[in-house]
Amino acid sequence: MDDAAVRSDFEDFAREYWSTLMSIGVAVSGSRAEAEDLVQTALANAYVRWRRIRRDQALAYLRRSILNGNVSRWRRHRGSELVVAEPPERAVSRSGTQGVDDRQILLPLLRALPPRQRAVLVLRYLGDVPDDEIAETLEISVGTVRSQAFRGLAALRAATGVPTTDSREEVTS
Amino acid sequence: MTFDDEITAALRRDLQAAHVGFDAARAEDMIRVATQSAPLGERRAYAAPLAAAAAVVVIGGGVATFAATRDSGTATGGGPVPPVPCPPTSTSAAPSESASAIPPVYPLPAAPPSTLYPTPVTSTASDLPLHLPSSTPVPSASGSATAAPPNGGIAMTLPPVSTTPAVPGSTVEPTVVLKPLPSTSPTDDPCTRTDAPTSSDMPSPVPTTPCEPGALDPGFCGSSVPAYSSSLTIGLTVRANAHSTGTATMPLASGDTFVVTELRFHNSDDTGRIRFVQGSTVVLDQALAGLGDHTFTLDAARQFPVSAGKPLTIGIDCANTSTACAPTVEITGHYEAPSTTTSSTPTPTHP
Repeated sequence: MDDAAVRSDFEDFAREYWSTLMSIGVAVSGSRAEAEDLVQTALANAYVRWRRIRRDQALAYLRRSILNGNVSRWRRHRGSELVVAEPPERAVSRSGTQGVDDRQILLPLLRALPPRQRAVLVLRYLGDVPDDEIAETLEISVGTVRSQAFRGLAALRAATGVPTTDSREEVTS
Repeated sequence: MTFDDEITAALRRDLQAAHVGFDAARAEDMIRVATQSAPLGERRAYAAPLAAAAAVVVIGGGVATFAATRDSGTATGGGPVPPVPCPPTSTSAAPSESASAIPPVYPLPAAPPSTLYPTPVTSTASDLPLHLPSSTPVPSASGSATAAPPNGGIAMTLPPVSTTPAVPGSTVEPTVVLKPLPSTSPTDDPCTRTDAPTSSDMPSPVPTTPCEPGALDPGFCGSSVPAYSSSLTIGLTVRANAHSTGTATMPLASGDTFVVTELRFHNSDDTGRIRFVQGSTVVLDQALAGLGDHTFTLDAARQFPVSAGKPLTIGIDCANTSTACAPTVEITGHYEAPSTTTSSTPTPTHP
């Protein structure tokens, strides 16, 4: 495949999955501008390796690039973020699960999670990515995926005031 | 339905509500940037050191000649070049043969992709600290290489451009191109022009260099000021909403000072700011004026000297919310004699 064909293939792929990638970026970073940076970097990295990236793995490659980029970003920023014991605004749990019915409550809470937990939850609940594929994407074990998901959901439950209950999530590692 | 069902359902709903719709213009822009940032198949991991080693600029023009002729008594290795008398007919319209044979610009090798996107998948160059250094000296570029000069020019060793700490999410692509400014037009030929700097133009005259036919640099001959003017071009690529700095060291001979009198910004695609820093001193803080090319002629109070061996850090704030900024900064100025540098040139500070 000559350069023009490779480039065309890459462009077609990028157009097709641009929204998906941006949505992941926004979900994990919390801002569109940050998401654009993450996606831009991921696309640039993918392009130079496009000949060696199998098409059926390209989306996973880009997902991984975005998520790893966000982890790096988080590491850089965490020292400058003000961590408080109590978040300034908490979701009010009026009764049982009513608190989590309010739209957009969970996204700010999601972004307060450590990036790996956030990545697992985003992939699982935004992209409906199976755990084994999440594990491959994040280069962790399936057990770790489940434990990260469990902890992330537990943190969300705690933040929303939903009492902990028996969970379908199983910590296997 | 368990509570976890509620949580996960709400989470799924929130995430899908935040779905980013397809923005064709933005997508095309990002794809274009990605495909133009580096050629296919480049191995970025090895590109940066190669770029540093390749940061050699060979010029046959005024800067090198001036640097070589300053303060030395030998004809090679920094010594003076033989006198370069003017062509017999000083009013001739044709530029000298040698001058015309020298390309006006000797660009660096094509920037490897790593300088554009030094961010591998799992680690980034943007791990660097955030801000333009304000209280600590800028790290100097280190390491150098030389290459054979073309056309009998003089090899100029330029320290590789180094990047100073940049904010997260930003990238820096400093490239430095030195080019002598002497024009080949008949009116600008110092051997014929009437406005060429003379010994009386400079505070500390140096012996007049006679012109010779075939002078490499018309800016040198017939004047007591070896170098009339030169320029330094620095290109930076800064991501949207980011701040980055790049450092370059002007290839000046020891003791030389280059007074910056004019700044040109090419392809300035944002309304950010640009700052020039030497050591811990902000010597100039200039707003970028938006799209297009802009030239800022600095009045006397804002002109600033760049001394040999002092790295010049250029920091750019990119305030664009959607696209990267990639202004090219061209610095134009003139040389000052070493003995008068400190006394005749103010060092304005713009906090």
